[in-house]
Amino acid sequence: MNLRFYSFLLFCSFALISCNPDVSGCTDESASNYDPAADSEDGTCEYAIVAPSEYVFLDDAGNSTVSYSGQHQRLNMLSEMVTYMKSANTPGTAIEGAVLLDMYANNGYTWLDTDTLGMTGSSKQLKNKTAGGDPVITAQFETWMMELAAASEGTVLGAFDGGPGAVGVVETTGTESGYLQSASGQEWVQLIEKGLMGACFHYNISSVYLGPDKMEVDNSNPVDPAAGKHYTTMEHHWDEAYGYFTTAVNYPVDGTDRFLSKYAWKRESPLESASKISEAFRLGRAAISAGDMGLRDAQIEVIRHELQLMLGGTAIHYLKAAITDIGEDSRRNHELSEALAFMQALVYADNPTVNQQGVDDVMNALGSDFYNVTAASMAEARDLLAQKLGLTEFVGQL
Amino acid sequence: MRNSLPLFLIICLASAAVFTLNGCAGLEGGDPESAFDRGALLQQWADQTIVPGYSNWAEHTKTLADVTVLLAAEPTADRVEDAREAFKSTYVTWQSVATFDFGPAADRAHLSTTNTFPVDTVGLMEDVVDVEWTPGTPSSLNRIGLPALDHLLFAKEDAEGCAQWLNEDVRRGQHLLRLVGFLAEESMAVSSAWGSGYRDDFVASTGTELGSGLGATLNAFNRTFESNLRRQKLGLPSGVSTFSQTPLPGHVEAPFAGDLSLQLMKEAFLSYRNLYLGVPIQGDGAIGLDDYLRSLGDVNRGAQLDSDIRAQLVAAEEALEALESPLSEFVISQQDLTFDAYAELQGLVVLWKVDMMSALGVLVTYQDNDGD
Repeated sequence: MNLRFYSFLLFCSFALISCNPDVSGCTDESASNYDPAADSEDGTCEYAIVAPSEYVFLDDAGNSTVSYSGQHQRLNMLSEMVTYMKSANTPGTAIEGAVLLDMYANNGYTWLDTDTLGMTGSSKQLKNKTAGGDPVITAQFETWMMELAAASEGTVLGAFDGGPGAVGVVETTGTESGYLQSASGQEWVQLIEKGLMGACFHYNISSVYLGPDKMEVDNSNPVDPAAGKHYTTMEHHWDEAYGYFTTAVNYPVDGTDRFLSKYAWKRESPLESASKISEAFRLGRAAISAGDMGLRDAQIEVIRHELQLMLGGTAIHYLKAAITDIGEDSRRNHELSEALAFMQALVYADNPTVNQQGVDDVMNALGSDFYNVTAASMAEARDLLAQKLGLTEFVGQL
Repeated sequence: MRNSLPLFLIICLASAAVFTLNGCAGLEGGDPESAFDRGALLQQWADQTIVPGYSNWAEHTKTLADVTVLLAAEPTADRVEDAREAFKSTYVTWQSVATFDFGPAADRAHLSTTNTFPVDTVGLMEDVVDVEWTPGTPSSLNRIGLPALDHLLFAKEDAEGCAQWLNEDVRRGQHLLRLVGFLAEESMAVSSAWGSGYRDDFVASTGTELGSGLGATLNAFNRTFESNLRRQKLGLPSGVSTFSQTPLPGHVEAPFAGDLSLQLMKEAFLSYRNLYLGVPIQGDGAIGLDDYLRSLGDVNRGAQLDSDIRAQLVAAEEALEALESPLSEFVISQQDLTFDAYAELQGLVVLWKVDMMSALGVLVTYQDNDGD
């Protein structure tokens, strides 16, 4: 009897053991839905999408899918134009309007092209990407370029003739240098350089490449692997937006030397512009590669929003500096010209917080003759712009 | 429940870790400045120096406006004397608040509208007869404020001559009134902004970043010491700050009043010294930047730096004592002593702007040449 009893017990215990159901689930510890209670893997593991620390993205075969050479060319074109334009800040140095126009349209101009991008004779240009090639906007830039050239031709070596009501190089007190400014103190180099940052670079990021026409596209097939294009169309458009922001994959380690990414870095404190914008670019790109469009769209909103805060914050910074430099014509006018151009850049955002009417309101408060502003008008413009962008609490730190 | 024992252990350990970490969270690891009460410093600065200083300054400009009303109504030698006295004591009072060129003062470019010198005397005379005169624009800066009053009140050396000059053309007295009216308006605006809200924001911003009370005060302190005291009051008149090292006697502060320039320089110097050493304008507080540096002890060489600064303050005081009034003549006759005084002030610039700022962890922001 004992043997049967114990056999029965043994049978039951074996039965009990073998009948205990296995718990199946995700057993990968690195997954976001890892189940420590699971005994067996059931293939349900999910992984949170994280932004890589650098703008480096590879396909499954290890090919880089990142490409923005066209944007790199355009940034380099503006850099070369700026160097050329700034030579006019030395009185007696004349620059040629026709040359500037050729640089702007990449029309038969021979670039230095120090990065060997093939800029000379390429199909890339700044002009047809300025506000989508809008003829009124491009004509404004070309007018400024011609005015700058004409003003430079009127300067005489060593003569700092700029001043209230007089076009010329306005000298910074106690130095042998200055800025070429109009009779009302507006500085063409700033209007053109920071203007194109807005009408071309900011416009293309916010209103073009991150918009539905460029984002509601194929994301399944590499565009042309045989030609080295291992990216999908959506991935590529996203990269083009990034390239208008910076060409550095390890930003902000590199890439803080010019244009939108430079000023984002300057506004890192207190707005965290550089961190927020670059993180959103990297996370959005990772989202695209993982097929999460909701996450992608959230990053689009971050990028659009933070670019506007960065541009407006920089305008505020320059308005503040201009108040401090009220008595130093060359610097005050320079800073007000920067402020004006940065402010104007705001209208090119997709669904802008500050549109042209908003900019006009601020400029009405400031006054467009920079020789006739007062501390009060500059402070009023500053505070009005801050209020429009919700930046009032940051004015003290900008 | 097979796994209940290890799970239970995990929960216990996790809880222990969480509670331990929370317990440790109260310590601000390694912040050398946490021992010094920045809030108390800002409060003393605001309530015992800046607010009473500006209030005093605004009152002086109001008094000056009152005597100028009398002078313009009926120019006599006595009334000229009264105006001159009020002017001098107003100019001296200005030196005690000039350094606080941030917040309300910066928003109104108060330093620039009050004391841009040397005055453009030709432009000033044009303004006298200008019906549409607009103060505050950039081109007006060197034709308004205390330097413009200096010229109008003292261009004729004796009071009788001045009274006669005012009697010749009623617009001259009227313009004097316009100038003091603008000065008084601006001063009162700055003073009342401090009295109604800015003081509280200032005292509450106890960090060290740009826009904080400490950041704003110290940047203005260093910038005005360098440009307005060292360079404008001494460097240019003595010739140190010029290319050819030739003295520019017309560039002294208050050149027309005759014997005021040196006194103004010394008063200005005192305001920086007092802020550093914790000597308020009104009240019995004693907290200063010296205490702050000493509280750092060896960290960032704080205590040693305070000691160096005090020694340099003494050296600078002695060098200024060696200068004699009238400064406009002294810069020519004893240029070497003015160069010595400049060198001692320069010593303070280095200690304050470079060493002290970095010891306290405050960024120098006024040299931010964006390089566009």
